[in-house]
Amino acid sequence: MRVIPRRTGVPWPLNAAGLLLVGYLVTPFLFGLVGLDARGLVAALREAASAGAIMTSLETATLSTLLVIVLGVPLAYLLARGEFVGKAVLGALVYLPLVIPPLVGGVLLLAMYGPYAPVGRWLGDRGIQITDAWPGIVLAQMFVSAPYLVVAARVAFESVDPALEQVSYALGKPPLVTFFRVSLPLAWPGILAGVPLAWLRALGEFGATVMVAYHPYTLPVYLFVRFGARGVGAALPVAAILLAAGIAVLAVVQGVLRRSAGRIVP
Amino acid sequence: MLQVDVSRRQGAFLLDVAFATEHQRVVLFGPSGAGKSLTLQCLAGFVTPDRGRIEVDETVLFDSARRIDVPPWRRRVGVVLQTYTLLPHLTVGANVAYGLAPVWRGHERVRVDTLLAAVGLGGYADRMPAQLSGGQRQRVALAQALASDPRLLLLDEPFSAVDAPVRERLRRDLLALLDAFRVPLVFVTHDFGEAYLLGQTIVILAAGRVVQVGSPADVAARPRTATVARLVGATNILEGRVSDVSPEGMTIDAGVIVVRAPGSPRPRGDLVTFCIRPEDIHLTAPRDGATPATVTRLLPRNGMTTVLVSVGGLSLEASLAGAPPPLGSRVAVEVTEGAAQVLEGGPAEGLE
Repeated sequence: MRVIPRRTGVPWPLNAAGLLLVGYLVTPFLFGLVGLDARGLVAALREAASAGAIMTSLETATLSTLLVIVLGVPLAYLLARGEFVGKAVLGALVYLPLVIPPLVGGVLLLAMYGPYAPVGRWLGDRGIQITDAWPGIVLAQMFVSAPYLVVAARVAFESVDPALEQVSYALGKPPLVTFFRVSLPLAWPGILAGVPLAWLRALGEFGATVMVAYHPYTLPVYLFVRFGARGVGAALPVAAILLAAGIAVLAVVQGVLRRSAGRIVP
Repeated sequence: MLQVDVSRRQGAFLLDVAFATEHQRVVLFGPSGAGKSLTLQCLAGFVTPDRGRIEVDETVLFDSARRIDVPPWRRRVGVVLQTYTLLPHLTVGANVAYGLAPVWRGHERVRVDTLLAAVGLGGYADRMPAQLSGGQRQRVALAQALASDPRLLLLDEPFSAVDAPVRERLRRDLLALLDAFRVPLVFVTHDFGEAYLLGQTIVILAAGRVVQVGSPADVAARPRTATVARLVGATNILEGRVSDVSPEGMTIDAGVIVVRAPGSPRPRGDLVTFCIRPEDIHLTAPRDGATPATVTRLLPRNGMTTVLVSVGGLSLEASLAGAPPPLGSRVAVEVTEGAAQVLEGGPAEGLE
């Protein structure tokens, strides 16, 4: 067969390299699926639920995502619109949790909130336990998931025409009113796109969580515990739960984005 | 009454603009990069001048000496910009209601309908901005600005993104709207036709400074410098020597043509720069005693023809209403008596 050269197209070495990576990324999923059986999956679900891992994970991931939205959206607006010294440094700091290992984040959190660390002891004296409790889990999850939301929200705010905010000012609306009636509604779809990413990252958080709060179990910590005690076969069904959550959320996000893509008009 | 005196350094650009007028309609006119929009932004409060003072009808909006800087949301100025700035997530009606002055509380719907009807868009309240044409969006933007009962309407080339025939309608309707709502206007444009139509006072800016202030007819007939002459369409800019001086003016000999110019005379023998509008150059059949010329180019425009003629190596521009002479034909050039206007500075000013 003669291959007709096309004028545009990806040269075959690049094609091959790309396919190799796809294969490498996809094959573990296949082996994982082969190792799964329905009875084991149901049993693992039941055990995870009775260990409290499923509810703990859903609750803490949702709470940390809400906190990240409430605090991250103002930070994103500040980074998008503010003019101040050190803005570039602050913008880079937001990325820090992405580039440092989560374990390091856990150590840093312990250095501040640990039972013998200054802030941790102060809070402990007032009956507020951070480590080995859900506040510790939420702190660990926020640490790693905040960048996803802040970056998405910053881009969303930056794409709002500043002239719209100026016109709003001229119409007698001070900056806070303008933020809630112009900037936030217009940036909202973009912010929303960052929410599931932040939630998934919080749900899957392990490194910092395991340092700060081994108990109560979240799903990733529970997975690690099962693996340590009973090996890969026992860990696999829990991994499948986390994987399914990820795929489900991504599917919903894609659906929402596609639907709203038709609605957003210049 | 509007008093403006602002200066601001913006990178390498220095804005230093001062003017005052009693008129209701002021046009800031000049080439792009002259500082028109920046001046408007200072009036709106979006940009803070380094120093200066802005006063509208006895209300001080900015005074660096007294540390007064009224924020934009308390200035009560209506702003319409060249880019479409309706809030895209709100209906037309909600856009107009957005900045509605508090006195209309309880009567929002009636007021919004009145304003939309005034800009010719009654019945459009439930549309979304994206469903409107450019001209319609700017009409809604005007209604939105008027809804806040502004003390001053600031328009920055609001019609320049709109098709030409629609633009013409919008300009006329704007004049009617200003009469109906009795609101003073500051209008930014780089189109002298638009400035002439809309302005009672035209403030001409160039390179961040005011170069001339006057009525449309005044700046068109009596540009002060070559820069202004070019901007207002007095495109024939020549140099000549004063050959005779009389109480009514002076005679200037530009070599190939001799013209009479009114105004305060300069000493005989002085080298002066002057301009002549294309309408004041008339082309007739060649005859003895008249200045001979050759037609080098014909540029039809708006039912008129701009005719370029060569007069002894000098190129002149004439504007004719009727049938133009054929290309290459020999003609004679006459200049309307007293139409030459002596300028300050040299002929190349503003070109470098």
